[in-house]
Amino acid sequence: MLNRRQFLLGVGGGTVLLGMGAGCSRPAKPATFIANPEEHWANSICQLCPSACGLKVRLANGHPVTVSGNPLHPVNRGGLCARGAASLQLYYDPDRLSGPIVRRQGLLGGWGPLAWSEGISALSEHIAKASARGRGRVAVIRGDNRDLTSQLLGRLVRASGSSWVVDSKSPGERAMERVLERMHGRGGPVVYDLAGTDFLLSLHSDILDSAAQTMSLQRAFAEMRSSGAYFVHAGPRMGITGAKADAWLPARPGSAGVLALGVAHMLIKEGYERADFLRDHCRGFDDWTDEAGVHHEGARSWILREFSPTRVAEHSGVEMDDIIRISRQFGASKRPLALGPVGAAVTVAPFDMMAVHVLNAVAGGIDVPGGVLIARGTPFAALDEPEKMEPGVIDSVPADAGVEEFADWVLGSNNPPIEVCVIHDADPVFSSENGERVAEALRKIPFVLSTSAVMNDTAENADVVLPGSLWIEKRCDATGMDGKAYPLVSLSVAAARPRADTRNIADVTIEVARGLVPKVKALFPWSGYDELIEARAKALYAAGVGDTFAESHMSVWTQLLARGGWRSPSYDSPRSLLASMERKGGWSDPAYYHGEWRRIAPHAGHRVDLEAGRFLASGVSASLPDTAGHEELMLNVYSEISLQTGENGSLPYLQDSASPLSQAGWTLSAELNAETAAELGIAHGSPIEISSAQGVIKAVAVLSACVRPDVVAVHTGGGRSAGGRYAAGIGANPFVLSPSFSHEVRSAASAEERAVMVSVQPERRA
Amino acid sequence: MSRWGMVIDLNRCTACQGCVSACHEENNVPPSTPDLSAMGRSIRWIDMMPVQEGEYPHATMSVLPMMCQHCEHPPCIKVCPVGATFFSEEEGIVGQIYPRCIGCRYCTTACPYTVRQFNWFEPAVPETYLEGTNPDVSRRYKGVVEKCTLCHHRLQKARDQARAEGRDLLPGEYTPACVEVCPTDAMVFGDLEDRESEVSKKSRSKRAYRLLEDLGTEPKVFYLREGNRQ
Repeated sequence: MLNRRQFLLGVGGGTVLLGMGAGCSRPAKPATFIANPEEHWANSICQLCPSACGLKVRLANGHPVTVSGNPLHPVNRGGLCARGAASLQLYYDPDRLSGPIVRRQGLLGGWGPLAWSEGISALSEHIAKASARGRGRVAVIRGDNRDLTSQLLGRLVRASGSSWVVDSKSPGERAMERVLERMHGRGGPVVYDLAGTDFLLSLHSDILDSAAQTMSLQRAFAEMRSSGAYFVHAGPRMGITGAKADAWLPARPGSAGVLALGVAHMLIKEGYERADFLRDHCRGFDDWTDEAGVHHEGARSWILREFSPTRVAEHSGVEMDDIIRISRQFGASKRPLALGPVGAAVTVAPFDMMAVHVLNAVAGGIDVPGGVLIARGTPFAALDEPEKMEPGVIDSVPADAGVEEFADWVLGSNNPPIEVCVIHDADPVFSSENGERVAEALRKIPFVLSTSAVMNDTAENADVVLPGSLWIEKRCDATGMDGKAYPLVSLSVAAARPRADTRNIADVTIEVARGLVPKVKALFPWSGYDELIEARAKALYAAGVGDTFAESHMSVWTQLLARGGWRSPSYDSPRSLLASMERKGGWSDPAYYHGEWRRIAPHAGHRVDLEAGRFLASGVSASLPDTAGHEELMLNVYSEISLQTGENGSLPYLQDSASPLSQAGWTLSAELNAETAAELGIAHGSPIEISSAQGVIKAVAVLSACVRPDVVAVHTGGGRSAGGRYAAGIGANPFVLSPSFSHEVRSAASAEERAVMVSVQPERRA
Repeated sequence: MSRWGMVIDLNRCTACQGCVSACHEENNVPPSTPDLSAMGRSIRWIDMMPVQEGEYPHATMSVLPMMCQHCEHPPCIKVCPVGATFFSEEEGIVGQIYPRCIGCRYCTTACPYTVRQFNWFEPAVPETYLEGTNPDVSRRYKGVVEKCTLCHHRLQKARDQARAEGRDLLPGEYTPACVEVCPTDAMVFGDLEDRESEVSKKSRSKRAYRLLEDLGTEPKVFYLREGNRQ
């Protein structure tokens, strides 16, 4: 190995090129420095978060070397976040699985290699046997259902007579789904029209700190700030969201719902409520008497009675004057918008989301520019919609079942056993609040198969790992991205050669299904993923709406034409539609139509049901814990912007840029108020221990004036037991501190029940 | 003569760090490790700098993307004993010639913005990552100082292309990686000498300021301060 001086001596100072960046590399790896490489670019779709941004991958001599954003893609318009820009590190991950593996039985233990054909046969056989024994014995845990691969897996499970199609959505997403079902009679997603609002009230939303920081939301946020809109953030820590706000209100954890209804109280009391909107599009706002003569209390009455500024100030820790001032500013704005804890990693109760939605209704901010929009769906149904399938639904599976409910079910003694579980695009053992319980459940299931490309914490609990190709290595799709209220389908080609013995899991799923009984096989008529894509292109073409991606101004033109009933697509057949989608990155129908109340609230009367929202508010009277004089601190967990809940931990650029405010990458940083830290004898940068009744974690103290004195704020993303050299053993997982909440507590309005109290002290030296 | 510079609108910046990852990917910045990070030895050409002011509960904070400010009068070049760091009169870019650098670190001390990075150790780059090396940018090694070059290699390529086509370089043909990926268009880049360019106009905005202006370094990175804050 040459050192620098030997190198200089060898080449001679006078012969060294002095131009910047030219000819000065160490000679150790000459093969990687190729003059004038053959270059080309290929479209791809980033799948490191639900945004599914369009990528342009630059390849030099066949090797992907850099990525940038696809300027035609409506979600990111050429931009990328830290995750997308670092995504090639996953492709080149030195610790990726080289091919399928199987857990060895007997004394040897560990893992051994497996042929793809053997892995596929094993999955087919286990599904066939399990579904022959009874209903509800096959399950899939997936990240979401926004791509055809995930939908195919859901379809396979439903076709096998089971309803256990579990999406590992965040607590905030699930809570919002539940609110929409109750108050609108339909599911999501919702889109917040940030760009159109003139007053944004963030109630614990952490929109710029968290996993919710999707590309569309960022772009809309920038437009909002450039337009001069006023922005207030309430939450236990300031974070980046509060740093970018005009005002930060230090509110106690779990107080989002109470604050929202406190603001609603002031709007109603001072006459700021939008009476016409409440009259035309809501029900249950005023008191009413039904046909049987029974009196019902409307939202106006219970909000006025229970959420006075005095009481809300007491519960939230926000000064009463601030609540009144912000409420008046909110009420006096033309297009105010409130955001709930959309990005929070902590348990978010449906009550919080309901309260924020009620506030938006009182302010007339639903289905209006600058308000809450209910996204239009794609012109075709998802492959795994239950009503399209053979009957296989078992009533005992909760409609909104998440990973925690799945684990409860598996570990329950009287339930029919789950015999097969496939885990795709998810790592619930690591990212769930009760990961150890999820692991225990997986260990109880006879056959668990993971499709992870790297050995993550969940794959460690599997019996077989069939590593799926990364997005860059395969043709792939994504549907209905976050932050867009109109239908959108992304499609990409395989940009680079596979670096390992991987396969497209969509093809694998179809192969498995076609090997099962004729009833299941009939539901999978495609020979493979390519044929399925062609079938979807035909359906999209037949729908006769929208166009393939185009520049921003052209999309506006398409929208204007559509409003006038005109259409001039850039394709004339399903085949040319497919070719155009692959060339440009996808298809969209870029129009949102306001006033479609049959779509927005499909249930009876087509109104937002404020009465239905009230069920969520029961028990709120004792909603916040009393921490006055308490020696313990309240735990505030937020999802870190780069690592999110840890899925991207094997990317060292993201580990290094974690915690931008504390500038302490590769570790768990815990934000403490400087005065609290002084009382506890803790110095900035010193190691500390955070303990609860459930566990202990180690962190580095970051002292700040931007966090409440009764709170310790920690981020998710660390503490993996697997994931390769850049992830395993790095940082700590704050979910270790969470008690094993029951489904009832997770859904409860009472923040007191959901609060996690912890002790913080300097780390004890051994 | 050009004066390449940048304006960062803090109203539009969301501190997403897309610029950080893109810069490091583009410029073959080696991955860090927990040990390097704990010692403060991670190489970062661009980073987020939080600035807190005031006391709880009235504290405020700004988060600034921070990279080489490409000063018109850079203190770093005055102290370099071997001419490894230099100022390009033609472009206004502060450059670094790695083979000349003797690792004395005078420049890292002289830089008031503390954005120069020294390679204290041999970069630990896995073999697989080397396959993804950007061939336009050479890797650095132990004992040399490195920093943001405004993706100078992109300027060279764009200029070569323009020359091959027998024309001048056009606005927008040269863009650093950080600016290219910025999802909110918070970063604007171009020739400050061209008074009609967007970057030049924004640099003359009432919201524009530069860091440590009193030192007389005349940075070519401008920040537009956040609005509405009470």
